[in-house]
Amino acid sequence: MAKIDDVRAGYGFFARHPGRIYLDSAATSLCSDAVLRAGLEFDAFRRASPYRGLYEESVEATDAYEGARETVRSALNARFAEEIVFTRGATEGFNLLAHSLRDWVKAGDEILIGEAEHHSNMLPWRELAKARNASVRYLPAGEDGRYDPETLKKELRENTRILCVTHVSNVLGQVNDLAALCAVAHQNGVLVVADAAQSAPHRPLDVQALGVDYLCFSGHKCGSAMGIGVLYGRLEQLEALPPLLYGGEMVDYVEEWDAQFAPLPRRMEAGTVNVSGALTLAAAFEHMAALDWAWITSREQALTKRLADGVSSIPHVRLLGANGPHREAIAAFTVEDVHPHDVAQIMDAHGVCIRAGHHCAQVLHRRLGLPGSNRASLMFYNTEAEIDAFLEALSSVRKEMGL
Amino acid sequence: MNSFYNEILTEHHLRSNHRGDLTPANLIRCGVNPSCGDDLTLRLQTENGVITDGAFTGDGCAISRASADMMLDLVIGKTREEALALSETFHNMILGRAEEADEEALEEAACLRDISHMPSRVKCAMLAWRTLNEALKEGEASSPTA
Repeated sequence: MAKIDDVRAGYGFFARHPGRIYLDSAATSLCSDAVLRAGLEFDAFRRASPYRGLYEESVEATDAYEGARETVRSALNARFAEEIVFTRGATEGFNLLAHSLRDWVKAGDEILIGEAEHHSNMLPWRELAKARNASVRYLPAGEDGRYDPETLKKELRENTRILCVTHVSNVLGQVNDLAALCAVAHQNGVLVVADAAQSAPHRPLDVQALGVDYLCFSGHKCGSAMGIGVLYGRLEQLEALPPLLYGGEMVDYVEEWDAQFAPLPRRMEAGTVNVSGALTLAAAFEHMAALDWAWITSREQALTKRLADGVSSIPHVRLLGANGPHREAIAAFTVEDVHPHDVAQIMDAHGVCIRAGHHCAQVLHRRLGLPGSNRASLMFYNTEAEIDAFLEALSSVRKEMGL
Repeated sequence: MNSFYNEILTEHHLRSNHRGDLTPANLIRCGVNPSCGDDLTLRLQTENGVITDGAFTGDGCAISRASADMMLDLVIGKTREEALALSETFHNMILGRAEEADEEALEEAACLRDISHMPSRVKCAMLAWRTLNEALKEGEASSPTA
Protein backbone atom coordinates (compact mmCIF):
# COMPACT_ATOMS: atom_id res chain seq x y z
CA MET A 1 0.00 0.00 0.00
CA ALA A 2 1.39 3.42 -0.89
CA LYS A 3 2.17 5.65 2.08
CA ILE A 4 -0.69 7.99 1.24
CA ASP A 5 -3.22 5.15 1.26
CA ASP A 6 -1.93 4.10 4.64
CA VAL A 7 -2.24 7.67 5.89
CA ARG A 8 -5.78 8.11 4.56
CA ALA A 9 -6.82 4.81 6.12
CA GLY A 10 -6.21 6.45 9.49
CA TYR A 11 -8.90 9.06 8.88
CA GLY A 12 -12.49 8.02 9.50
CA PHE A 13 -13.77 10.79 7.20
CA PHE A 14 -12.78 9.01 3.99
CA ALA A 15 -14.56 5.76 4.79
CA ARG A 16 -17.63 7.65 5.94
CA HIS A 17 -17.76 9.90 2.87
CA PRO A 18 -16.48 7.79 -0.03
CA GLY A 19 -16.01 9.79 -3.20
CA ARG A 20 -16.28 13.18 -1.48
CA ILE A 21 -13.36 15.51 -2.04
CA TYR A 22 -12.53 17.63 0.98
CA LEU A 23 -10.73 20.82 -0.02
CA ASP A 24 -11.56 23.06 2.91
CA SER A 25 -8.75 22.24 5.33
CA ALA A 26 -8.03 25.94 5.76
CA ALA A 27 -11.41 26.15 7.50
CA THR A 28 -10.84 23.02 9.56
CA SER A 29 -8.64 20.01 8.97
CA LEU A 30 -9.65 16.37 9.10
CA CYS A 31 -8.85 14.57 12.30
CA SER A 32 -7.14 11.16 12.40
CA ASP A 33 -8.43 8.32 14.56
CA ALA A 34 -5.15 8.14 16.49
CA VAL A 35 -5.28 11.83 17.38
CA LEU A 36 -8.87 11.58 18.54
CA ARG A 37 -8.11 8.53 20.61
CA ALA A 38 -5.48 10.47 22.53
CA GLY A 39 -8.19 12.82 23.78
CA LEU A 40 -11.01 10.29 24.15
CA GLU A 41 -8.84 7.91 26.07
CA PHE A 42 -8.05 10.55 28.66
CA ASP A 43 -11.70 11.48 29.18
CA ALA A 44 -12.80 7.83 29.23
CA PHE A 45 -10.17 6.28 31.45
CA ARG A 46 -7.91 8.87 33.02
CA ARG A 47 -10.22 11.75 33.72
CA ALA A 48 -9.19 13.89 36.67
CA SER A 49 -8.59 17.58 37.19
CA PRO A 50 -4.94 18.49 36.90
CA TYR A 51 -2.92 20.54 39.43
CA ARG A 52 -5.18 20.53 42.46
CA GLY A 53 -5.60 16.92 43.39
CA LEU A 54 -3.07 15.22 45.61
CA TYR A 55 -4.08 11.78 44.47
CA GLU A 56 -2.41 9.67 41.83
CA GLU A 57 -4.93 10.25 39.04
CA SER A 58 -4.70 14.03 39.34
CA VAL A 59 -0.93 13.93 39.27
CA GLU A 60 -1.15 11.84 36.11
CA ALA A 61 -3.55 14.32 34.53
CA THR A 62 -1.12 17.12 35.35
CA ASP A 63 1.74 15.18 33.82
CA ALA A 64 -0.30 14.45 30.69
CA TYR A 65 -1.25 18.11 30.22
CA GLU A 66 2.23 19.44 30.90
CA GLY A 67 3.59 16.72 28.63
CA ALA A 68 1.40 18.10 25.86
CA ARG A 69 2.74 21.59 26.54
CA GLU A 70 6.30 20.31 26.26
CA THR A 71 5.46 18.63 22.94
CA VAL A 72 4.19 21.95 21.62
CA ARG A 73 7.21 23.82 22.97
CA SER A 74 9.50 21.43 21.15
CA ALA A 75 7.43 21.56 17.95
CA LEU A 76 7.72 25.35 17.91
CA ASN A 77 11.32 25.38 19.09
CA ALA A 78 10.34 27.77 21.86
CA ARG A 79 12.99 28.19 24.57
CA PHE A 80 10.70 27.55 27.52
CA ALA A 81 7.46 25.76 28.33
CA GLU A 82 6.45 28.99 30.09
CA GLU A 83 6.14 30.57 26.66
CA ILE A 84 3.35 28.20 25.61
CA VAL A 85 -0.17 29.19 26.67
CA PHE A 86 -3.05 26.93 25.69
CA THR A 87 -6.15 28.78 24.49
CA ARG A 88 -9.42 27.88 22.80
CA GLY A 89 -7.97 28.82 19.43
CA ALA A 90 -6.30 31.61 17.48
CA THR A 91 -9.27 33.99 17.79
CA GLU A 92 -9.28 33.68 21.55
CA GLY A 93 -5.50 34.09 21.65
CA PHE A 94 -5.58 37.39 19.74
CA ASN A 95 -8.48 38.71 21.80
CA LEU A 96 -6.92 37.83 25.15
CA LEU A 97 -3.62 39.31 24.03
CA ALA A 98 -5.19 42.57 22.83
CA HIS A 99 -7.06 42.81 26.09
CA SER A 100 -3.95 42.15 28.10
CA LEU A 101 -1.95 44.80 26.25
CA ARG A 102 -4.56 47.39 27.14
CA ASP A 103 -2.42 49.31 29.60
CA TRP A 104 0.68 49.04 27.45
CA VAL A 105 -0.91 50.93 24.55
CA LYS A 106 -1.17 54.69 25.11
CA ALA A 107 -3.16 57.49 23.48
CA GLY A 108 -1.48 58.52 20.26
CA ASP A 109 0.13 55.13 19.70
CA GLU A 110 -0.34 53.38 16.37
CA ILE A 111 -1.15 49.77 15.57
CA LEU A 112 -0.19 48.68 12.06
CA ILE A 113 -2.37 45.85 10.74
CA GLY A 114 -1.76 43.93 7.53
CA GLU A 115 -4.52 44.56 4.98
CA ALA A 116 -4.85 40.84 4.26
CA GLU A 117 -5.37 39.88 7.89
CA HIS A 118 -8.13 37.56 9.03
CA HIS A 119 -10.67 39.42 11.15
CA SER A 120 -9.33 37.66 14.27
CA ASN A 121 -5.98 39.45 13.95
CA MET A 122 -7.62 42.72 12.97
CA LEU A 123 -10.77 43.45 14.98
CA PRO A 124 -9.33 42.92 18.49
CA TRP A 125 -6.61 45.47 17.66
CA ARG A 126 -9.09 47.99 16.25
CA GLU A 127 -11.14 47.71 19.44
CA LEU A 128 -8.00 48.14 21.53
CA ALA A 129 -7.07 51.27 19.58
CA LYS A 130 -10.58 52.71 20.04
CA ALA A 131 -10.47 52.03 23.77
CA ARG A 132 -7.03 53.60 24.19
CA ASN A 133 -7.35 56.53 21.73
CA ALA A 134 -4.68 54.96 19.59
CA SER A 135 -4.77 54.86 15.81
CA VAL A 136 -4.82 52.04 13.29
CA ARG A 137 -3.21 51.95 9.85
CA TYR A 138 -3.01 49.19 7.29
CA LEU A 139 0.13 47.66 5.84
CA PRO A 140 -0.56 47.02 2.17
CA ALA A 141 0.27 43.72 0.54
CA GLY A 142 2.22 43.76 -2.72
CA GLU A 143 0.98 42.78 -6.18
CA ASP A 144 1.87 39.18 -5.42
CA GLY A 145 -0.11 39.27 -2.17
CA ARG A 146 2.88 39.26 0.21
CA TYR A 147 3.90 41.88 2.76
CA ASP A 148 7.21 43.38 1.67
CA PRO A 149 9.79 44.19 4.40
CA GLU A 150 10.88 47.22 2.31
CA THR A 151 7.29 48.50 2.30
CA LEU A 152 7.11 47.90 6.04
CA LYS A 153 10.21 50.05 6.55
CA LYS A 154 8.46 52.93 4.79
CA GLU A 155 5.15 52.41 6.59
CA LEU A 156 6.51 52.32 10.15
CA ARG A 157 6.20 55.58 12.07
CA GLU A 158 7.56 57.08 15.29
CA ASN A 159 4.44 56.07 17.16
CA THR A 160 3.93 52.58 15.72
CA ARG A 161 3.98 50.12 18.57
CA ILE A 162 2.38 46.89 17.33
CA LEU A 163 2.51 45.11 13.97
CA CYS A 164 -0.15 42.45 13.25
CA VAL A 165 0.71 40.21 10.35
CA THR A 166 -0.10 36.76 9.11
CA HIS A 167 2.56 34.17 8.33
CA VAL A 168 0.44 32.66 5.55
CA SER A 169 -2.64 34.45 4.16
CA ASN A 170 -5.81 32.37 4.38
CA VAL A 171 -7.02 33.87 1.11
CA LEU A 172 -3.96 34.63 -0.99
CA GLY A 173 -2.07 31.56 0.19
CA GLN A 174 1.20 33.49 0.10
CA VAL A 175 3.92 32.79 2.67
CA ASN A 176 5.29 36.01 4.11
CA ASP A 177 8.94 36.40 5.08
CA LEU A 178 8.00 36.68 8.73
CA ALA A 179 11.61 36.68 9.96
CA ALA A 180 12.46 39.66 7.74
CA LEU A 181 9.30 41.51 8.79
CA CYS A 182 10.16 40.92 12.46
CA ALA A 183 13.71 42.15 11.95
CA VAL A 184 12.46 45.41 10.46
CA ALA A 185 9.83 45.80 13.18
CA HIS A 186 12.31 45.18 15.98
CA GLN A 187 14.81 47.65 14.56
CA ASN A 188 12.04 50.17 15.16
CA GLY A 189 10.98 48.92 18.58
CA VAL A 190 7.70 47.49 17.31
CA LEU A 191 6.03 44.41 18.84
CA VAL A 192 5.09 41.69 16.33
CA VAL A 193 1.90 39.65 16.71
CA ALA A 194 1.83 36.89 14.11
CA ASP A 195 -1.03 34.74 12.87
CA ALA A 196 0.22 31.20 12.29
CA ALA A 197 -3.22 29.63 11.77
CA GLN A 198 -2.39 28.74 8.17
CA SER A 199 1.33 28.05 8.59
CA ALA A 200 1.39 25.78 11.67
CA PRO A 201 -0.52 23.04 9.81
CA HIS A 202 1.90 22.98 6.89
CA ARG A 203 5.43 23.56 8.14
CA PRO A 204 7.48 23.13 11.31
CA LEU A 205 7.62 26.54 12.97
CA ASP A 206 10.71 27.87 14.68
CA VAL A 207 9.57 30.80 16.80
CA GLN A 208 13.14 31.72 17.69
CA ALA A 209 14.25 31.89 14.06
CA LEU A 210 11.10 33.81 13.12
CA GLY A 211 11.72 36.26 15.94
CA VAL A 212 8.03 36.89 16.67
CA ASP A 213 7.00 38.38 20.00
CA TYR A 214 3.61 36.65 19.95
CA LEU A 215 2.13 34.01 17.73
CA CYS A 216 -1.29 32.35 17.69
CA PHE A 217 -2.70 29.31 15.96
CA SER A 218 -5.61 26.90 16.27
CA GLY A 219 -5.31 23.18 16.83
CA HIS A 220 -8.32 22.21 14.74
CA LYS A 221 -6.56 23.39 11.58
CA CYS A 222 -3.57 21.21 12.51
CA GLY A 223 -5.53 18.01 12.89
CA SER A 224 -6.48 18.23 16.55
CA ALA A 225 -9.88 18.45 18.20
CA MET A 226 -11.71 21.78 18.09
CA GLY A 227 -11.50 24.05 21.11
CA ILE A 228 -7.72 24.11 21.61
CA GLY A 229 -5.06 26.49 20.37
CA VAL A 230 -1.79 28.07 21.34
CA LEU A 231 -0.63 31.57 22.17
CA TYR A 232 3.16 31.69 22.11
CA GLY A 233 4.80 34.67 23.77
CA ARG A 234 8.50 35.42 24.16
CA LEU A 235 9.26 35.00 27.85
CA GLU A 236 10.43 38.59 28.34
CA GLN A 237 7.12 39.80 26.88
CA LEU A 238 4.85 37.29 28.56
CA GLU A 239 6.43 37.84 31.99
CA ALA A 240 5.40 41.49 31.90
CA LEU A 241 1.84 40.83 30.75
CA PRO A 242 -1.04 40.96 33.21
CA PRO A 243 -3.06 37.72 33.34
CA LEU A 244 -5.45 37.13 30.46
CA LEU A 245 -8.35 35.68 32.46
CA TYR A 246 -8.90 35.59 36.20
CA GLY A 247 -10.28 32.81 38.33
CA GLY A 248 -9.21 29.45 39.58
CA GLU A 249 -5.93 27.68 38.78
CA MET A 250 -4.10 30.91 37.91
CA VAL A 251 -3.73 32.00 41.53
CA ASP A 252 -1.38 30.87 44.26
CA TYR A 253 -3.29 32.50 47.07
CA VAL A 254 -6.25 34.84 47.43
CA GLU A 255 -7.05 37.06 50.41
CA GLU A 256 -9.98 39.41 50.72
CA TRP A 257 -8.16 42.31 49.08
CA ASP A 258 -5.06 40.80 47.61
CA ALA A 259 -4.06 37.92 45.39
CA GLN A 260 -0.83 36.41 44.30
CA PHE A 261 -0.91 34.95 40.83
CA ALA A 262 0.72 31.72 39.78
CA PRO A 263 3.94 31.67 37.81
CA LEU A 264 3.91 31.32 34.02
CA PRO A 265 2.37 29.61 32.19
CA ARG A 266 -0.39 28.68 34.65
CA ARG A 267 -1.05 32.36 35.39
CA MET A 268 -2.34 32.69 31.80
CA GLU A 269 -4.69 29.71 31.91
CA ALA A 270 -7.61 30.35 34.23
CA GLY A 271 -10.19 27.69 35.00
CA THR A 272 -10.03 23.98 34.42
CA VAL A 273 -7.98 23.45 31.29
CA ASN A 274 -8.92 21.51 28.18
CA VAL A 275 -6.75 18.48 28.88
CA SER A 276 -8.21 16.22 26.20
CA GLY A 277 -7.92 19.04 23.64
CA ALA A 278 -4.29 19.64 24.53
CA LEU A 279 -3.59 15.92 24.26
CA THR A 280 -5.07 15.84 20.75
CA LEU A 281 -2.93 18.83 19.78
CA ALA A 282 0.21 17.13 21.02
CA ALA A 283 -0.87 13.95 19.23
CA ALA A 284 -1.43 15.93 16.01
CA PHE A 285 2.12 17.32 16.17
CA GLU A 286 3.49 13.86 16.91
CA HIS A 287 1.45 12.50 14.00
CA MET A 288 2.99 15.00 11.60
CA ALA A 289 6.48 14.43 12.94
CA ALA A 290 5.98 10.68 12.49
CA LEU A 291 4.82 11.23 8.89
CA ASP A 292 8.02 13.23 8.44
CA TRP A 293 7.77 16.94 7.76
CA ALA A 294 9.96 16.56 4.68
CA TRP A 295 7.37 14.18 3.18
CA ILE A 296 4.52 16.48 4.20
CA THR A 297 6.01 19.69 2.81
CA SER A 298 7.20 18.18 -0.47
CA ARG A 299 3.84 16.48 -1.01
CA GLU A 300 1.89 19.63 -0.21
CA GLN A 301 4.13 21.76 -2.42
CA ALA A 302 3.53 19.43 -5.37
CA LEU A 303 -0.22 19.32 -4.75
CA THR A 304 -0.36 23.10 -4.33
CA LYS A 305 1.44 23.59 -7.62
CA ARG A 306 -0.97 21.21 -9.34
CA LEU A 307 -3.91 23.06 -7.81
CA ALA A 308 -2.69 26.59 -8.57
CA ASP A 309 -1.43 25.77 -12.07
CA GLY A 310 -4.73 24.07 -12.81
CA VAL A 311 -6.87 26.96 -11.55
CA SER A 312 -4.73 29.46 -13.48
CA SER A 313 -5.25 27.58 -16.71
CA ILE A 314 -9.05 27.46 -16.70
CA PRO A 315 -10.52 30.19 -18.90
CA HIS A 316 -12.64 32.80 -17.12
CA VAL A 317 -11.22 31.75 -13.73
CA ARG A 318 -8.88 34.06 -11.86
CA LEU A 319 -6.51 32.90 -9.13
CA LEU A 320 -6.05 35.35 -6.26
CA GLY A 321 -2.44 35.99 -5.29
CA ALA A 322 0.63 35.15 -7.37
CA ASN A 323 1.05 31.65 -8.78
CA GLY A 324 4.61 31.38 -7.63
CA PRO A 325 6.97 29.59 -5.24
CA HIS A 326 5.52 31.32 -2.16
CA ARG A 327 2.12 29.68 -2.30
CA GLU A 328 1.14 27.20 0.37
CA ALA A 329 -1.86 24.86 0.33
CA ILE A 330 -4.45 27.52 -0.52
CA ALA A 331 -6.00 28.65 -3.81
CA ALA A 332 -8.72 31.28 -3.71
CA PHE A 333 -10.29 32.24 -7.04
CA THR A 334 -13.20 33.88 -8.80
CA VAL A 335 -15.23 32.57 -11.73
CA GLU A 336 -16.30 35.24 -14.20
CA ASP A 337 -20.04 35.98 -14.10
CA VAL A 338 -20.72 33.28 -11.53
CA HIS A 339 -21.28 34.24 -7.91
CA PRO A 340 -19.07 32.35 -5.41
CA HIS A 341 -22.14 30.91 -3.73
CA ASP A 342 -23.32 29.34 -6.94
CA VAL A 343 -19.83 28.00 -7.69
CA ALA A 344 -19.66 26.31 -4.30
CA GLN A 345 -23.09 24.79 -4.69
CA ILE A 346 -22.31 23.33 -8.10
CA MET A 347 -19.01 21.99 -6.80
CA ASP A 348 -20.89 20.39 -3.92
CA ALA A 349 -23.15 18.64 -6.43
CA HIS A 350 -19.95 17.32 -8.02
CA GLY A 351 -18.79 15.99 -4.64
CA VAL A 352 -16.24 18.71 -3.96
CA CYS A 353 -16.15 20.70 -0.71
CA ILE A 354 -14.85 24.25 -1.17
CA ARG A 355 -15.60 27.52 0.52
CA ALA A 356 -17.47 30.61 -0.68
CA GLY A 357 -17.53 34.08 0.81
CA HIS A 358 -14.92 36.47 2.10
CA HIS A 359 -13.20 33.99 4.43
CA CYS A 360 -13.21 36.48 7.32
CA ALA A 361 -11.09 38.90 5.30
CA GLN A 362 -13.53 41.56 4.12
CA VAL A 363 -10.96 44.37 4.14
CA LEU A 364 -8.80 42.35 1.76
CA HIS A 365 -11.72 41.60 -0.53
CA ARG A 366 -12.70 45.28 -0.63
CA ARG A 367 -9.18 46.17 -1.65
CA LEU A 368 -9.30 43.50 -4.35
CA GLY A 369 -12.63 44.93 -5.50
CA LEU A 370 -14.43 41.65 -4.90
CA PRO A 371 -17.64 40.93 -2.99
CA GLY A 372 -16.31 37.45 -2.28
CA SER A 373 -14.41 34.51 -3.70
CA ASN A 374 -14.13 30.75 -3.61
CA ARG A 375 -11.34 28.92 -1.86
CA ALA A 376 -9.90 25.44 -2.22
CA SER A 377 -7.35 24.39 0.40
CA LEU A 378 -5.47 21.15 0.78
CA MET A 379 -3.49 19.11 3.26
CA PHE A 380 -1.11 16.15 2.91
CA TYR A 381 -4.02 13.69 2.97
CA ASN A 382 -5.34 14.96 -0.37
CA THR A 383 -4.33 13.28 -3.65
CA GLU A 384 -3.49 14.25 -7.22
CA ALA A 385 -6.68 12.50 -8.37
CA GLU A 386 -8.71 14.69 -6.03
CA ILE A 387 -7.09 17.86 -7.34
CA ASP A 388 -7.79 16.74 -10.90
CA ALA A 389 -11.42 15.96 -10.10
CA PHE A 390 -11.74 19.42 -8.52
CA LEU A 391 -10.29 21.06 -11.63
CA GLU A 392 -12.59 19.11 -13.91
CA ALA A 393 -15.65 20.10 -11.90
CA LEU A 394 -14.52 23.74 -11.79
CA SER A 395 -14.14 23.72 -15.59
CA SER A 396 -17.79 22.79 -16.00
CA VAL A 397 -19.26 25.43 -13.68
CA ARG A 398 -19.88 28.17 -16.25
CA LYS A 399 -21.50 25.73 -18.65
CA GLU A 400 -23.83 24.53 -15.91
CA MET A 401 -24.79 28.13 -15.27
CA GLY A 402 -25.78 28.49 -18.93
CA LEU A 403 -22.76 30.61 -19.88
CA MET B 1 -25.16 16.36 -12.88
CA ASN B 2 -26.66 19.23 -10.97
CA SER B 3 -30.36 19.67 -11.60
CA PHE B 4 -30.90 22.55 -9.22
CA TYR B 5 -29.69 25.16 -11.66
CA ASN B 6 -32.51 24.11 -13.95
CA GLU B 7 -33.86 25.81 -17.02
CA ILE B 8 -36.29 28.08 -15.19
CA LEU B 9 -33.67 29.37 -12.82
CA THR B 10 -31.07 29.85 -15.54
CA GLU B 11 -33.57 31.66 -17.79
CA HIS B 12 -34.51 34.10 -15.06
CA HIS B 13 -30.89 34.61 -14.15
CA LEU B 14 -29.36 35.09 -17.59
CA ARG B 15 -32.33 36.45 -19.54
CA SER B 16 -34.18 38.32 -16.82
CA ASN B 17 -37.40 40.06 -17.75
CA HIS B 18 -36.99 42.74 -15.11
CA ARG B 19 -33.32 43.39 -14.61
CA GLY B 20 -32.25 46.98 -15.09
CA ASP B 21 -33.25 50.51 -14.30
CA LEU B 22 -36.82 51.80 -13.98
CA THR B 23 -37.92 55.37 -14.44
CA PRO B 24 -40.24 56.58 -13.08
CA ALA B 25 -40.11 54.57 -9.87
CA ASN B 26 -41.83 55.87 -6.76
CA LEU B 27 -40.67 53.07 -4.42
CA ILE B 28 -36.97 52.28 -4.27
CA ARG B 29 -35.44 49.98 -1.71
CA CYS B 30 -32.03 48.34 -1.24
CA GLY B 31 -31.55 44.94 0.32
CA VAL B 32 -28.35 43.16 1.23
CA ASN B 33 -27.13 39.83 2.59
CA PRO B 34 -23.76 40.93 3.98
CA SER B 35 -22.70 37.45 5.00
CA CYS B 36 -22.75 36.05 1.48
CA GLY B 37 -22.29 39.13 -0.69
CA ASP B 38 -25.74 39.49 -2.28
CA ASP B 39 -27.08 42.97 -2.87
CA LEU B 40 -30.22 44.14 -4.60
CA THR B 41 -31.93 47.42 -5.48
CA LEU B 42 -35.64 47.15 -6.13
CA ARG B 43 -37.43 49.88 -8.09
CA LEU B 44 -41.21 49.83 -8.17
CA GLN B 45 -43.85 52.10 -9.66
CA THR B 46 -47.12 51.98 -7.76
CA GLU B 47 -50.36 53.75 -8.57
CA ASN B 48 -53.52 53.61 -6.50
CA GLY B 49 -52.20 50.74 -4.45
CA VAL B 50 -51.25 48.63 -7.48
CA ILE B 51 -47.71 47.73 -8.52
CA THR B 52 -47.69 48.79 -12.15
CA ASP B 53 -44.04 48.12 -12.94
CA GLY B 54 -40.82 46.97 -11.31
CA ALA B 55 -37.15 46.27 -11.94
CA PHE B 56 -34.05 45.19 -10.03
CA THR B 57 -30.29 45.67 -10.18
CA GLY B 58 -27.52 44.22 -8.04
CA ASP B 59 -24.55 41.89 -7.74
CA GLY B 60 -26.07 38.88 -6.11
CA CYS B 61 -25.86 35.17 -6.77
CA ALA B 62 -27.95 33.41 -9.40
CA ILE B 63 -30.59 32.39 -6.88
CA SER B 64 -31.08 35.93 -5.58
CA ARG B 65 -31.35 37.33 -9.10
CA ALA B 66 -33.62 34.62 -10.46
CA SER B 67 -35.82 34.92 -7.40
CA ALA B 68 -36.07 38.68 -7.87
CA ASP B 69 -37.02 38.24 -11.51
CA MET B 70 -39.66 35.60 -10.77
CA MET B 71 -41.03 37.74 -7.97
CA LEU B 72 -41.49 40.73 -10.27
CA ASP B 73 -43.24 38.50 -12.84
CA LEU B 74 -45.70 37.66 -10.07
CA VAL B 75 -46.29 41.00 -8.34
CA ILE B 76 -46.44 43.38 -11.28
CA GLY B 77 -50.11 44.08 -11.78
CA LYS B 78 -51.04 43.01 -8.27
CA THR B 79 -52.23 45.16 -5.39
CA ARG B 80 -50.03 45.86 -2.41
CA GLU B 81 -52.05 43.42 -0.29
CA GLU B 82 -51.87 40.68 -2.92
CA ALA B 83 -48.11 41.17 -3.22
CA LEU B 84 -47.63 40.91 0.55
CA ALA B 85 -49.76 37.75 0.62
CA LEU B 86 -47.64 36.19 -2.14
CA SER B 87 -44.56 37.14 -0.15
CA GLU B 88 -45.83 35.23 2.85
CA THR B 89 -46.69 32.21 0.69
CA PHE B 90 -43.18 32.24 -0.77
CA HIS B 91 -41.66 32.49 2.69
CA ASN B 92 -43.70 29.49 3.84
CA MET B 93 -42.60 27.50 0.82
CA ILE B 94 -38.95 28.28 1.49
CA LEU B 95 -39.38 27.13 5.07
CA GLY B 96 -41.02 23.93 3.85
CA ARG B 97 -44.39 24.89 5.25
CA ALA B 98 -46.39 25.42 2.07
CA GLU B 99 -49.27 23.43 0.59
CA GLU B 100 -49.48 22.47 -3.07
CA ALA B 101 -52.24 24.97 -3.69
CA ASP B 102 -49.96 27.70 -2.38
CA GLU B 103 -47.25 26.67 -4.79
CA GLU B 104 -49.62 27.08 -7.72
CA ALA B 105 -50.09 30.72 -6.77
CA LEU B 106 -46.31 31.16 -6.95
CA GLU B 107 -46.13 29.93 -10.56
CA GLU B 108 -42.50 29.68 -11.70
CA ALA B 109 -41.19 30.86 -8.34
CA ALA B 110 -42.28 27.49 -6.99
CA CYS B 111 -39.21 25.97 -8.64
CA LEU B 112 -37.27 27.35 -5.69
CA ARG B 113 -39.05 24.97 -3.32
CA ASP B 114 -35.88 22.86 -2.99
CA ILE B 115 -34.28 25.72 -1.13
CA SER B 116 -36.22 24.53 1.89
CA HIS B 117 -33.53 21.83 2.03
CA MET B 118 -30.64 24.27 1.62
CA PRO B 119 -30.50 26.49 4.68
CA SER B 120 -27.46 28.35 3.38
CA ARG B 121 -29.38 29.58 0.30
CA VAL B 122 -32.63 30.65 2.02
CA LYS B 123 -31.41 34.22 2.46
CA CYS B 124 -30.50 34.37 -1.23
CA ALA B 125 -33.98 33.37 -2.35
CA MET B 126 -35.63 35.61 0.21
CA LEU B 127 -33.62 38.75 -0.49
CA ALA B 128 -35.93 40.19 -3.14
CA TRP B 129 -39.09 39.31 -1.22
CA ARG B 130 -37.72 40.74 2.00
CA THR B 131 -36.79 43.91 0.17
CA LEU B 132 -40.27 44.03 -1.38
CA ASN B 133 -41.90 43.69 2.06
CA GLU B 134 -39.82 46.54 3.41
CA ALA B 135 -40.56 48.73 0.37
CA LEU B 136 -44.31 48.13 0.53
CA LYS B 137 -44.53 48.67 4.27
CA GLU B 138 -42.47 51.83 4.10
CA GLY B 139 -44.49 53.05 1.12
CA GLU B 140 -47.67 52.49 3.08
CA ALA B 141 -46.36 54.53 5.96
CA SER B 142 -45.15 57.49 3.93
CA SER B 143 -47.38 57.79 0.85
CA PRO B 144 -50.75 59.57 0.85
CA THR B 145 -53.84 57.36 0.82
CA ALA B 146 -55.25 56.56 -2.64
